[in-house]
Amino acid sequence: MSVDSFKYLPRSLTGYFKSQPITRQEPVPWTPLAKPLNESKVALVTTAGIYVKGAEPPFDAEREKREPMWGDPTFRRIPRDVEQGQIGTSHLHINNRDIQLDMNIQLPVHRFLELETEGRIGSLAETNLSFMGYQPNTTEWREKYGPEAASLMKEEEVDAILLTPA
Amino acid sequence: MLARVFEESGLSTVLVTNGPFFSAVGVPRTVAVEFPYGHMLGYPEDRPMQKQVIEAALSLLEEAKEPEEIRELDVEWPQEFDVARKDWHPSEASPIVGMMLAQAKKAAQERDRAQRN
Repeated sequence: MSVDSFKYLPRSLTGYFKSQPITRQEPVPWTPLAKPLNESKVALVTTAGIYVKGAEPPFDAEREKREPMWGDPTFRRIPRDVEQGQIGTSHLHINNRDIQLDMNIQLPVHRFLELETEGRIGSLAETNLSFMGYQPNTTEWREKYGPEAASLMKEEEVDAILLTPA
Repeated sequence: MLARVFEESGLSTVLVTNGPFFSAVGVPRTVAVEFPYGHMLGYPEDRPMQKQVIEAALSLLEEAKEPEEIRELDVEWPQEFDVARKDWHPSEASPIVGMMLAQAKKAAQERDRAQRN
């Protein structure tokens, strides 16, 4: 099987993306896994626009509606004991219905708690993170919110991260 | 982008994506799935499918010896393609798509007017 990166995109956008040059950035960063996975702490990071209702505000969709070339670059914290009913979504570019039904399709907290119990991983991090993936300009991710998220995970002694974009 | 920032700060990352084409920017580890947007780990409430994708990601974390390995996962999406290609879209067009549609409509109207004159 060869995965078609454009299978689900409208054709007009496929042409656009294929015509855009991809800027390779060297060197490609590399951190080998420092210890066996069953001793590692794993954090989950998605860009599905998930937040915990009542704990933190949604992503700023109202500003995006006024300024369509802007996407909220901040992130939200999702604790490991989160329940499905607490999950809110604010991502204007995907159908959020299935995430409202089962967050594990983008932020697999419950699958990773099972993997922790099974001993496949050492543990799931206390705090997992969600960004919102529509970012016409990624400067703030690169310079501010990405490094802030990294520091937060380093403070919790995370070893590895599963990233699930949306 | 985020994978690179995290990896640079000393965290090992694995990306599960339906767009491995874009990993050419230089992504440390990629698992590629041919799933619709917003469903990188599978179908809702399908635990075996989600576990299969996650296991592929964990194996790559353990086994990759150098950057930029891409592993393609041979798993069929359970919905009919004609359903799935529409189903992932938001019910209301996103602001940028709405803006582009409005611009296209305006351009078409101006063309019509120019042709009539």
